[in-house]
Amino acid sequence: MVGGAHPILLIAVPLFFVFLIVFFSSFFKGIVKYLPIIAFGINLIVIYQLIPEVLGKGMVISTTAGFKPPLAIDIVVDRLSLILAAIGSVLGFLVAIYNVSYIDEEPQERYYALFTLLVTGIIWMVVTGDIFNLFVAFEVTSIAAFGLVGFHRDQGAVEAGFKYLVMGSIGGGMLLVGIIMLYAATGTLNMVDLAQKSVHLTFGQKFLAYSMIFIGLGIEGALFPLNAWLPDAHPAAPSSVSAILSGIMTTAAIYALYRLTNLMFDYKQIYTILLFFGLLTLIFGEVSAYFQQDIKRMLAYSTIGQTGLFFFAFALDSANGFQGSIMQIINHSVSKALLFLVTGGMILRIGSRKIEDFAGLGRKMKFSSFFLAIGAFSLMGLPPFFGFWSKLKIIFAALQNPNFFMVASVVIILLMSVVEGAYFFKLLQNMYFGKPAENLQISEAPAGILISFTILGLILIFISVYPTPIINLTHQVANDLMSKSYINIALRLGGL
Amino acid sequence: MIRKVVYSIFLAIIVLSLVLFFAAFPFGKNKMTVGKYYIDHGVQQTGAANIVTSVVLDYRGFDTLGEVSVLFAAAAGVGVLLHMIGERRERKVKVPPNFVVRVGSRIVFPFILLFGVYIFVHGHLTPGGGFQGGSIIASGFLLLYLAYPNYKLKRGGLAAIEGLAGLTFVTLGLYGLLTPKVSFLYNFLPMGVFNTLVSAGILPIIYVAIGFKVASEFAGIIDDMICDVMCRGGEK
Repeated sequence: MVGGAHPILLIAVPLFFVFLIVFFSSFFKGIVKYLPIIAFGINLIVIYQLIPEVLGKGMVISTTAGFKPPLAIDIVVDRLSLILAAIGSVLGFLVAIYNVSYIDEEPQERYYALFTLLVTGIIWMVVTGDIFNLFVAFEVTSIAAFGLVGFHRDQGAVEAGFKYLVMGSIGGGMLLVGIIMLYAATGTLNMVDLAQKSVHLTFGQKFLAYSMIFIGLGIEGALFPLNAWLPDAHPAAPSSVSAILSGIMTTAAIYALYRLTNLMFDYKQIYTILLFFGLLTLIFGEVSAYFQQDIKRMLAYSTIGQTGLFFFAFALDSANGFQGSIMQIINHSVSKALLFLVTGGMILRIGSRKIEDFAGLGRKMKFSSFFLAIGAFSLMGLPPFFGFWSKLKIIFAALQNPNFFMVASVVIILLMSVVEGAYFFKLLQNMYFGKPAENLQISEAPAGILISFTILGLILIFISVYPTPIINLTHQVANDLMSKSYINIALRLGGL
Repeated sequence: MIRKVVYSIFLAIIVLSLVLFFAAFPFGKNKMTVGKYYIDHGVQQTGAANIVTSVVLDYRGFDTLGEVSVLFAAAAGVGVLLHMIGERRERKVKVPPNFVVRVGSRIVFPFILLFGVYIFVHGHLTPGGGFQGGSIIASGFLLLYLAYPNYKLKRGGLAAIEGLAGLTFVTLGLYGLLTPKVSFLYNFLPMGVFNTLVSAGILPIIYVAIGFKVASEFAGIIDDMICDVMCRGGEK
């Protein structure tokens, strides 16, 4: 590993900057807002260094404390982790630029420290190779998020933050109980070691541990009966934070579920249950989104719907399903973050979150509206955008084994895509053809906001025009998951 | 009523399943592979007489860095929610603290500080450590807040201590990447003489840093919360 890239830097460097922000906040406050940009800029460099190594060897492992796992914690980046860590770093970097023009409320230094910590925790969740370390990362992420959701300190924000605090803490507790069960049964916390030792457990014992872990991660990952906090929390947070929460935080919890399900709970029965959770989440999210008047609430419900969709694809338990799921995750993260960033700029200008107040914005804020339309089209799955390919893949995967249930599921997915199209077209129609209430002069969003969402929009256009590398990469990830190469490669590289 | 019945049924299912699960795995029997290794080799490998510290700071030191961040996030979150501006931070007191409290707290305060410092400086030798020592120190400041209505910590100084302590922890960890072991949080300093104050390499330094960090964070939380209760009307 000497001379190579160190995945641990993905966590250690942003943490260093968190404490640097705290240190500078007392006497040099002006610099604080630029530090997160540097932190995630360095993260992007580390990701760039990791790409050839991870793609070549399939995995890069970094130990801590100088001991080998399972004695100490290790950081494991395989292809799937790399995709999510890259999305997290890119979003962290762009939103850090966005913050500079967006946040003018006090206490700023705490906002920047918590924001950096939130993104760090998310990246931490996807790269850790230790199940208790996963819990720690989960706690870092959620506790940073509680404070950020309540950042505006109006009644709605504090209430949403409190609701999230209660549900998130219950989720954390359940996850911890699940981890304790696994530890009691196997005496180890390393994921690869657990995967090998847990084969001695009976299905009933595994199922009990899994239900605890599922409830814990499901609350954070917005799966249907557990997601009551999300439609309040995501809209109440500042738009920059909403972009992170919707774009990557729920996805990180879902990633943890994927990883653990794949490594330890790989049973047909469990996947069948997950299918129902996916479908119910999809229906609940999209139908609720249709009836929303508040644009951020609508986007939050749409996040629930999309989560249901890619969770359903994962639960198909086939190579095509896994691939479709990961593609949809990439599509959702980029487009949903883009939508939140653009609407954040618009809300800043018109001072309202009601969809009817967006009338006529298509002519006033041409640039922003253009990117909002692109994000919406990709999320709906219109060709030629990336979302089209991912939805197509999911439908193909579902129809691979065309029994009655699968055909019915595909009908539901298509129906929900129509609902999704309906509410996004309603918004776009209002923006481009609706009559503005007053003849107000509205200028474009401030520079930092423009720069960040333009870059994100260009990334989305790029992967839509040239999707081949991502399709190939996700194909490899799907094969990794099918063959459980996580265990084999980790054993070969000395991760145990 | 129906709600309570449903809740009780759910709770009963959870408790029953937990009992059934843990009945199959008696505590600490044959299954503690990693734990056994820590007990057998922890003292030689880390040089810490307190085996809990050897696990918490050395083998699983990365988790502790996470816990430090969790505590930081909680303190910063409290700070965000209870943030108040300027003159609203003036405290008002209905019943002023009496003579005994004022003088008593002055006498006790240095001893509380000393005890807290003792706990975290000896974290690698005796039970306790940075988190416990830091909380004890913060409780000393709580006493001062209660005894002197005008007492006010300088938040700027607290933030500087908090930041420096965190930076020390991360920098020590990052330095491990430069050593031949190329491992984050590698204990690169010599072990020293077993069971003396200067032993166990970087562990005591980390615990001192955690002690300062926890003390300043808890003192900050006390400062935020006491104002929420005692400032003019408690309004924001």
